Amino acid sequence: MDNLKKYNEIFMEILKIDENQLNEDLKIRSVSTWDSIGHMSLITAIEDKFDIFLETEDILGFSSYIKGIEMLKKYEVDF
Amino acid sequence: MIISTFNNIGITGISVALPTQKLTVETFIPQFGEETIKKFSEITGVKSICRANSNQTAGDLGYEAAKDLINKKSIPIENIDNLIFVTGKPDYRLPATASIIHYRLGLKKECGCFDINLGCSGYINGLFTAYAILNNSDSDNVLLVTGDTSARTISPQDRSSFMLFGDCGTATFLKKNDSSVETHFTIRSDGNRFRSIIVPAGAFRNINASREEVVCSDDNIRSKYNTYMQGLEVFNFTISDVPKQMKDFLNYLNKTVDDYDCFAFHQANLFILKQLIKRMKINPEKFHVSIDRYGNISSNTIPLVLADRYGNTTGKKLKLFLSGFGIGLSWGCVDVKIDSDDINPLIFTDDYYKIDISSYFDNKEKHNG
Repeated sequence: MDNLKKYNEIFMEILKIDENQLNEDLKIRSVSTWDSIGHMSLITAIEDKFDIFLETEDILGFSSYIKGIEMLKKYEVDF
Repeated sequence: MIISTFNNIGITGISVALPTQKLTVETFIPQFGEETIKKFSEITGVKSICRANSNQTAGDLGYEAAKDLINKKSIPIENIDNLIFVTGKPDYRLPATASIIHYRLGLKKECGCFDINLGCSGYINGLFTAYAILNNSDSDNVLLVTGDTSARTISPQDRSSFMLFGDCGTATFLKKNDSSVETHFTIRSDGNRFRSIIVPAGAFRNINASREEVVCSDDNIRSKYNTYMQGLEVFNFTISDVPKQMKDFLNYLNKTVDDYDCFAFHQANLFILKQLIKRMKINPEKFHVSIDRYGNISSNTIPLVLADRYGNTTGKKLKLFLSGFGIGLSWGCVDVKIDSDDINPLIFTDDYYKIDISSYFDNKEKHNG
């Protein structure tokens, strides 16, 4: 499975949103499901599915769908 | 970094009291739906909580723990020199709940007695206050009591918090001794983030606040009399400020995580605990999880973790790393040694103080004004 597809599926499954919502407007709290529980679920799934351990600074900066992609590139995940 | 070091003072007893009423997260399925509960339980780790009955207060739970400790450790009542009660849910706005516990236990008049208003860092700050009193006075001992019924101000419609918090009370006895064993503390606070966890009404700032319930920005329904927790801000605090303090503390003490037998941390939720374990590189076997059975129990968590893990253990001299963090925001760590023989098993109780003050309000003459 390519990494973008894997990344998108995490968001759609956890935040209960459609593929057409995966864009630059998707940010923390922009949908009701991206609350603290949703945020922790996303981090858990990203760490598990990409087999990485996110640094504190990266978690603090993970505030949108787009920033998550930029964050993963630092961990040599190609998109 | 400010470190406070004490010697010639030790913890000689811990007791913990829980309400008998146990609620599993499944109890809340009709209210929040199965999927929400499953997701909540997976992330927070909470499977059940103990919740006080409607008559039981934080003061009652703390009192029961204190009574258990005094009985099991055969502490002469007349010898108790100080009583501190830590809570965010006092029995009354006034007086301090410590005064009521002082009366119920029958403590002497020559006894310091006051409340500390804190939540999840309350045990660390309470211990620090107790050590400081003993280090600087002729007092021989302190009875430190904690108690909380956090859910009392949480909106029943708050899907992220209502199932998270359990109720509990604890008591710890500290006494001067001849030992040179050192106890170390570090405390931090950031009042700039006081809004992160707040109950806006119910005291004196917003005394006429409306009780109207509204849909808040996080989609939960609350009134101003309910606890509002900025979950994401608190989450960021716990994965950054808290482990940073722990690492600074270890560096200052020139110790590593291998120097401890157990890490008793406040248990905000399982995800945060896993993050702390990973970031601190703690051996999971040295970490005791209680949130699965008791939820987040505020200032009571650290003594509960110790009683849950060591309440039936004898003969172990434990080297412990304690950490509490939460409302304020406020956070702190302690490096302390405790004998497992001094940690009592958990007790469960339905008891409460059957006080009647209705006579204050008997109408001798009807007020018509």
